[in-house]
Amino acid sequence: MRYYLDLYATYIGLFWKIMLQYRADLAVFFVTMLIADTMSLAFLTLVFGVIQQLQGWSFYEVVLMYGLIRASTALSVLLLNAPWSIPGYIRSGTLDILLVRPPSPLFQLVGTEGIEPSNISSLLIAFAAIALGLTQIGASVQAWWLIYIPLAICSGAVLQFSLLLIVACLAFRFVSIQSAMYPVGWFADFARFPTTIYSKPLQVLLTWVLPYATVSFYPVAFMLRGTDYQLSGLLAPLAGPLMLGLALLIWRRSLSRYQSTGS
Amino acid sequence: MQSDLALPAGPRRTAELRAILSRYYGIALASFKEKLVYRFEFVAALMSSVLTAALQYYLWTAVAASAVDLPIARESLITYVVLGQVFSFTRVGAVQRRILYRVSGGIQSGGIATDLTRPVDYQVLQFCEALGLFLAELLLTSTPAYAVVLLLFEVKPPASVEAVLGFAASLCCGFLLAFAFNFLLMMASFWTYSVRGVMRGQKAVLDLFGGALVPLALFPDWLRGIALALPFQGLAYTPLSIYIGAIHGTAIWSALTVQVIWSIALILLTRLIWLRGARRIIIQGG
Repeated sequence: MRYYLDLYATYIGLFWKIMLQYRADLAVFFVTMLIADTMSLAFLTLVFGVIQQLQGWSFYEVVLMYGLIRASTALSVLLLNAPWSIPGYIRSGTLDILLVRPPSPLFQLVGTEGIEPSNISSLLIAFAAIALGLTQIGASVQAWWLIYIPLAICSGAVLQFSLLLIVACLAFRFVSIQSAMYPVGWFADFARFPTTIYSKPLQVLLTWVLPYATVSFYPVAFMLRGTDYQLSGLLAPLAGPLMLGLALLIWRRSLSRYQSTGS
Repeated sequence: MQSDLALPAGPRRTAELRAILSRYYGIALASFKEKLVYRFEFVAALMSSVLTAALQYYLWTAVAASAVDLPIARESLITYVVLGQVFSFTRVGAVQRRILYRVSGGIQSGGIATDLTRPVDYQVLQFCEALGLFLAELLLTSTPAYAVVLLLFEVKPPASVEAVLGFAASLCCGFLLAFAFNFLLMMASFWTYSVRGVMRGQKAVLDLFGGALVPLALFPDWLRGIALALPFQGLAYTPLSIYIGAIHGTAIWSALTVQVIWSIALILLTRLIWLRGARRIIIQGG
């Protein structure tokens, strides 16, 4: 365990050195993502310019939902962006190099390819959105929210990572799978709004298959409409870890099959 | 391989023919394979369109249900926002994106040098390529997406015959505008590796101020004024409003004129910047 912690610290150190050389690019990303996320919030504001509530959900409640899902995806990109590199590693054969080294190949990927700083400003804006939502909602902030919210965000980041990893494992079979990884991310956008606005099949998809609703809607519903959403609220943070378990299973299976065919 | 010149006239002719044919076959095959690879991109673009259209559909249906009074009729509103995802000039085409990534940072790698030494004007070259991609995307992505949303997402057909014609004309003008913006993006990609961020930022601004996500009629007055003064409206607001009949009669002509004027102005601007920039690239030694 200690070994892995030290190793990860080394990875971060290496990454930091590389990033210092690309300060200009980081600055560009910081500004452009800031603009992009501001536009998203402007969009929300415009929508609520025409209505007072969206199927019973107020503006600040939806802002809170936005903040939660955006924080999760931004965090996932920041630290857990590794799955995007996997098809490339398999295609170029570089994966074999990882297999020869002592640490687990997935850990190496997460350490060397998983850190992607482009979404830092998005993360900050998402936090701001959460703070805004919480303070303006009108209900008093409860103490347990301060634990529950970070929990939901971390679980959401792990969820995004796991879903991408599962699709990335298809790269062991199909070479150009990268395009298929994008749709996974698109569904996260649906979680910006209360899941109740969607059709039943879509709600099922967002709750059980690509469970992004467990990152934004159910936590907010649980915090603010407690009694109705108690069960879903308590179970919601489990979606991330459960999906991670599934993803790791699939990854190990794919990896062992890859190794045994002697590619 | 023994030189074909050593052969007598008859067989030499055949050998030459075979060489020419195999060369053209090679080129044709390479081009075809390229299109096949791109076909994946078009399917992905189709999926993306349908998904974002779905999001807009459900969102605005809920908005219409929750609203006290709307400036636009419910049917037109939903048609507008859903079509905004089907015919979207704010989106950088998938193929275009690939080219941008390839070019990104291209000054350092010097790859741009070969393109610049070609006898054809670079911008004209880009325009022809963009036109081809636009038509391909229209055929392979927009048309199937349109069919899907007609069936699934309560999209209404155009308001009238003049709406159809006006919409088609507006799409063409919109293409010119989009070309200008994409060319600016292309130039940005020469100078920065973070072209992905620039794309994201640009798309976000164009989406909002172009009226793709929210009809300009729903904007607060002060913001609508700003949006109408900007060129972005030609990317979404103008064609979509003509389609639903919000812009009709003689107003269509003035709307189209505004689009065309902005297109010309922006393309001229890109030309200016390009001619300046290209000289610098050559001076830098490619």
